[in-house]
Amino acid sequence: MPGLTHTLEIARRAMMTHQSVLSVIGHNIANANVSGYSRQVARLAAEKPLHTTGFDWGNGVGLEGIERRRHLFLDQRVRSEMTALGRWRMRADVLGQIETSLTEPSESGLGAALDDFWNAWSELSSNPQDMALRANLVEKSQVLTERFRTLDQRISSMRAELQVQLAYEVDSFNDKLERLESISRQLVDAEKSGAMANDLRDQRDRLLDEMSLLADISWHEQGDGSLTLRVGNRVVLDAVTREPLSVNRLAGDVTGGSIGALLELREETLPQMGSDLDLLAADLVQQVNARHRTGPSRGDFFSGSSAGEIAVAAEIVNDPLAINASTSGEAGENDIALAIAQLQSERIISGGRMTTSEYWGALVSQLGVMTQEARFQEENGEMVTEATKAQRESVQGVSLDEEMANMVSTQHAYLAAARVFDVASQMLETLMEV
Amino acid sequence: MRVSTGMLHGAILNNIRQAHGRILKMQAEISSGQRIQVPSDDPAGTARALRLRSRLRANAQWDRNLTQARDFALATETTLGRLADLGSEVRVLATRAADSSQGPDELAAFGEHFNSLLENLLSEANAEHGGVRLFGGTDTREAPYVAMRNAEGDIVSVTTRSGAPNEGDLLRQVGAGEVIAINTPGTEVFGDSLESFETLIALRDAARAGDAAAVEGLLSSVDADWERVTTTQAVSGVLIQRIGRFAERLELDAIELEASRSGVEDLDISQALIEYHEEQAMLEASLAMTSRVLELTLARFLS
Repeated sequence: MPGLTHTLEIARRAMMTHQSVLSVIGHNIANANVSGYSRQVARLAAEKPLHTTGFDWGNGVGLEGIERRRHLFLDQRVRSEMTALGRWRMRADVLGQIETSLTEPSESGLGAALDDFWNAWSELSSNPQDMALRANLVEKSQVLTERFRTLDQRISSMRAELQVQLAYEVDSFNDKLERLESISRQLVDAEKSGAMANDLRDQRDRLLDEMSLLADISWHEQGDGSLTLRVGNRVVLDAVTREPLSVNRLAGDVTGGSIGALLELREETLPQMGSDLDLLAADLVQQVNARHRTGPSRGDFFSGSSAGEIAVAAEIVNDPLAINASTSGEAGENDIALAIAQLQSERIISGGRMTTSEYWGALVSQLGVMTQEARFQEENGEMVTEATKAQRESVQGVSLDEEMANMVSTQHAYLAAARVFDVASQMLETLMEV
Repeated sequence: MRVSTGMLHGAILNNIRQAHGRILKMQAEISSGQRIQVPSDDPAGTARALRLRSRLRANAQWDRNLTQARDFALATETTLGRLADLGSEVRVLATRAADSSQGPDELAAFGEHFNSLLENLLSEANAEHGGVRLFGGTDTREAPYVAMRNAEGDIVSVTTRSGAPNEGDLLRQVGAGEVIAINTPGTEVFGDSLESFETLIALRDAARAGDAAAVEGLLSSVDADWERVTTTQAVSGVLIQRIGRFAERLELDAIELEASRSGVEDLDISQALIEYHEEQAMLEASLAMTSRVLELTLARFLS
């Protein structure tokens, strides 16, 4: 029969065990506000029984392990939502900047400049020889060409800014990748002995969260605790190697996150916008020049044929009299000026499908649609990310009230065990005195 | 579902953040009076607004063109009025001069009168408005009609300065693809071979020569000349009316276009203010609730 010393041992072990539980509770409470912290739970179990004198005698309680509350599936969901959010957020930001620089609808946009240009030709047609009207036409034309060039420049400089931003984000990613490798190594070492390295895992998970905003990552944990990380289809980390991303060789690999968005904006979205603008400039120049050339000077009205180069022809800037208002050049004739003024309502852009203001309106509203969608998706993404994070939090987050309730019950258990120790101890003393 | 402390805090902060975001946007709208700050606020609305603004600008330009056109047409009408008066005077004088009871001295006096009217006719024929000749077609600068004079300075004949008479139209744009001619060709007023001048020259010469019979023979030409002018006056009047109708239509269009544009772009202020106050009230309630929730923790109740 196990005696009083056995009971003392049970009580002692119980008190130690509950001290450990308190330690875990204390750790949770201390880390309650640490982002990404997964709460830990002390798992207690009855010790293996002692079999003697025909009975199984209980051996008290022991600490079986300290579990980390984490849900792998929820981690995956949160990170895939964050990758989408990272992408839409970057798109909304950049597209928002571009549409602001269009300054439409307003008097300072390209639309107003186009209208003023056509009007200046119409005005000239009423009085083709008037020097003041010719000077006015040159001025309005220069305002127009300047706005084209400014927009073109804005797109180019935006591309350059995106390049800088891209380099920054890639550096940030590679930085985290390096830290990830280091933590993974430590983790593998620490877990060789069989225990779970809970806090290292938390650090690793935090890094993975941050990286998921940057790119479309996928990961897989191997049996020994090491991590294989992919960006798209490309392996960037495994047990033996680390392959950082290189800014110049990203195309095709990264399709999500803020890096994916930057790539897409730099390689597709912005160039498309630039070429749409170029088309407007080119068709405008071609149509106006074609009519202008039928006049006495046989010269062009515009020089250049892209949004970046369009300008009023130098001969005309130097001498507004060089403007051909008519084919004959006679004082009252205005057939060229009239023809050009009428181009305002003719479908001369994009293979004769749209007028200049229809085309510009379509371009502006198309950008508006893209930006609106990005904003909507960003907002939506934020809500969904918050919701999935909340679900994850529900599993791994610390509830202070819960911990304090556990603390109270642990304290009671400790007190009770101490009581048992006390009583058993007194009983032993009694025995000694006999 | 298990709710962690972080979830509570996170949810509350999120709501407050979003409320602030909405309030900020509303402030921008109200202070600018514009519904549409950037195209993404309403892409379809932006496209419409751009189109409407464009049409308004074009409309304003056509209106300016019409004003100019009307001024020119009115100047032409006024001049035609004087030409009609002149023609009428020639008729009266010619009729009296043709009376065989006139003596050589009276006829000579008529001759001088005819001469003076001839000079008037030439001057009116070369009239201009705003630097543009009324009856020169597209040859708008220099005087379209020139006189050959004799040694005494009297007009011997009148011809067009540049060979064939210039019957070109002065065209003005008054709408999308709409163009009108605002001038009256000189030949419609003075005749294909400048008969008005020839008649008056002949009248003067006949009167000076004391030839009342010749004067009488010219009376039918005088009538024809005068009728040409009055016919042209009627045509000119029609043109002015037409210009007036164009202008009226443009004005109505402008009002409609502006109303549409305002409907798309401008903010309904009273509606916006109501929504703004609602949003603020919600934020207030949210903040009040936050303070309540954050106060409640088990720690307060454990001694």
